[in-house]
Amino acid sequence: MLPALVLDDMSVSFDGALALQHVSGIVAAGDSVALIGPNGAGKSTLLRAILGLVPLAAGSIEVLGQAPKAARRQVAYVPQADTFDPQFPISVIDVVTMGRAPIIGWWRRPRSVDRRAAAAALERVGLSERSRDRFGTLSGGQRQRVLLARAICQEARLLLLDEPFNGVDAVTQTTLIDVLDELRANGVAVVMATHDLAVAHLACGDACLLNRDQIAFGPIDEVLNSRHLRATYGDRPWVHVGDQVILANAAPSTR
Amino acid sequence: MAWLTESFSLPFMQRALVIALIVGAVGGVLSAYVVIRRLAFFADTLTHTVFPGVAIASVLVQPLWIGALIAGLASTLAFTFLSRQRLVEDNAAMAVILTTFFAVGVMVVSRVTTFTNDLITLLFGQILTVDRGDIMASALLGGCAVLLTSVLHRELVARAFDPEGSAAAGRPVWALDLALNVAVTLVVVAALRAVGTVLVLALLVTPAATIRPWVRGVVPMAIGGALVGMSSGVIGLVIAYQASVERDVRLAPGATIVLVMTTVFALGSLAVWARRSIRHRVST
Amino acid sequence: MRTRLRAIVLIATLALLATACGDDTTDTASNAGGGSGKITVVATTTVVQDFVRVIAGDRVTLVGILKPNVDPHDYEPSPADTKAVADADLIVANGAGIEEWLEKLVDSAGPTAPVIDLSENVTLRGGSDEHSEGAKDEHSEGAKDEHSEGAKDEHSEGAKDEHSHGGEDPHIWHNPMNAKIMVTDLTAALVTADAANAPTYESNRDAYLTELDTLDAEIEQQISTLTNKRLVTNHDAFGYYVDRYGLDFVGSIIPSFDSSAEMSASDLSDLVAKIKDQDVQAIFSESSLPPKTAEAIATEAGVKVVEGEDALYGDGLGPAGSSGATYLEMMRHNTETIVAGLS
Repeated sequence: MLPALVLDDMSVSFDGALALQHVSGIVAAGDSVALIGPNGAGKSTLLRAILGLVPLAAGSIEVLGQAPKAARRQVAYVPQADTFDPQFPISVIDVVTMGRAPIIGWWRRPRSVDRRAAAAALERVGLSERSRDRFGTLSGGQRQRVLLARAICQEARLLLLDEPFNGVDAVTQTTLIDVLDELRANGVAVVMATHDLAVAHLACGDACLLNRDQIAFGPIDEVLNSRHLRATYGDRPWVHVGDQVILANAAPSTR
Repeated sequence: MAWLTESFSLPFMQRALVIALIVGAVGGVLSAYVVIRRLAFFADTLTHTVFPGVAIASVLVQPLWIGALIAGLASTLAFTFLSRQRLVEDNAAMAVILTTFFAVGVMVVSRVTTFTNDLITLLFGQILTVDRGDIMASALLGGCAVLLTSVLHRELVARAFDPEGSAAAGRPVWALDLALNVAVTLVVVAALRAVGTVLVLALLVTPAATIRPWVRGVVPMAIGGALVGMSSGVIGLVIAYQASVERDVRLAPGATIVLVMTTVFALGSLAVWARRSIRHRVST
Repeated sequence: MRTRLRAIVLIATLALLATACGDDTTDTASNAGGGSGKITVVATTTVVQDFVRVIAGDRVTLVGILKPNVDPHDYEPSPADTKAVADADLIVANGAGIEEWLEKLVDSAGPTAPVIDLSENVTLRGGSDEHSEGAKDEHSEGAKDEHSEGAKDEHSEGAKDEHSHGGEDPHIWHNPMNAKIMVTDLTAALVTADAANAPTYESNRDAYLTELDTLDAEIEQQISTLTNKRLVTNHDAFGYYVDRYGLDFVGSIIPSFDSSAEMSASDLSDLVAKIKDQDVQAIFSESSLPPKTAEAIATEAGVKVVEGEDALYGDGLGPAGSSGATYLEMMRHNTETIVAGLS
């Protein structure tokens, strides 16, 4: 089966400076990869490159065997919930239904199959009772779940998430991990930028460590070791908890 | 209600009413999209960039709306292109463009001797002398603007709510922006004879801003905005007519309509504040 | 409602509305002056209003559009004006392009009574000619020469000839001989509209024509006492007066027949130079225009400016109780002021 994502020594530059270089890796269907690194390491840049929103300076990206721009229908993006205007006049269910846009296309209107898919997705993240409320009235974690629901109903093969666990409540964290596991069981590949190493261990099988350069890419238990972490984060205090490595203070990425 | 029917008993007032309804409805619908995109200042700049083209056209081409449309679309295209190049992102750049284009427009009109009259008419409209041709043009242009935004409604809302997501989904964001700018331009030209290029901004912002705290969703905002726009038109015309005929007080009808709209907005804001205080008191 | 459907419904409704409120039918737009048997006459300018008062007195209901000291060139008609025009039995205008707004006003009022143009039988001046130095020959034959096509007049130093009325001078009433023609035509129109009162109208007319002759002789005599006849005014309103009485027109601050043009820098310095060269004694400002520019030029050129109470009435009459409340008073005031200023 086609791998969901193939990165081949890719580099991205902004204004002449290299933002990201030498990133390579393969993500198969059902895999999930944590993109780990400090602010400015290039995590968001990598996600945008996979979406075809930034051009490559070198190397290549293949999404489901195609160029990123051609594969967009099959790629769903979940941004951080706090990037949205809380006053915007849109209801929760309308946000979720937006996820059907690539399926509906420009000219048609949503049909009952689309409405059912949106309702089902919202149900899956446990927020059906807030369906008609204005999106901005939900808590941060709830909004993050809604955005995941939006991505679900797109029925994509590759899911990209940007810091989805940032500042969310416990219910949201559990829900997100459960839903992601279900999706993976159905063959959806997941790439998730995160700074929370504990969650990364829970949710992801692989990890890609970035600090403008790719430090490592492989199974998370192997890759998250002291040497790699030091190369990624510099000299920051971290602790071992059982088999896992946790950063002592993980500051949320500022935007 | 005799004063209502009396105000519109004469053909010229009836025509003014029809065009006020058209322009109020169309402006009201468009204002929903302008407001959710937070484009009020951008729309202001846009109406000012349309002006020189309209001024040139008014001197060269009759009927006015054809020349104005061509010129207006040209300026909008240029302006959209400029803003896409990130040259006009901040308010300072927009203010410079706004004033420059406006000055160019005034200069163009001042080349003709009757310029004060023509200038005033272009800026503030002359709703009492509209004829059937003006009404048809407004209906046509306004209808196209509403049609354009209706067809692109989902995409426009998505782009307003989540520009990154829109781009990620492969939507040509610049094309959507251009479409909305074109729709705004169509409304400006449609409203030329009724309220002019300066006051049309009020129609493009105030209705949705007024209705926003009372409805949920963009479609209700558009419909509510249309209702606010239309009723302001009716009330404004009645006031201007009664003041002139009954009290010999001259009130420019276009400006009166805008002031009615502003008053409604102020009253609405007051009501929102009151509602909030009551709720606060109830819950504590 | 779904958005697209809503849009279609909206457009359809609006289109229906537009066509429904379409043609002006023969709905009774005019009434007979309030049931008292008197006809309603709408007169545009203050001068025309005065003529109507003189000829018809209280035999008609007079509605005036322009008020005293209002600039007639860029007037914006109000709803009341439009209603008056719609209800009138007779509409009287000065014509010759002074009421540029009249056509649109009449169009928008629906079916109206006929509009009588009092300038129809008057010989019009055309083209701005500051250099004419009192000569009134080239332009006095009805002005339908090259000037009226908006062509540039080589004399006029950038005079803005692109008037919509073809560059003719509309201030015809400043020559009492023209006033006689206007009053005669007005009477004929009144007689047609209201034959019952014809005898009154005609005898009023005859009396007034005599008065206009008297006025003419008076002015002639007074002007002849002047040695320095060089006139500088605010805008080109006095052409007919200058031609009739042989004054020397040096120039005007707004070199145009209407008051909304803006002076260019070269126009200004040319005028100042001319004033100094030609020993002009005074600049005359006008009652319906702001005097600032006149004051500034007078200071620059070192001459006095005649303004305020003594300003000339260029575009119409003054309010009741002022020195220019009627035509005869206005003409006498202008003459006295000019004579006083140039003596």
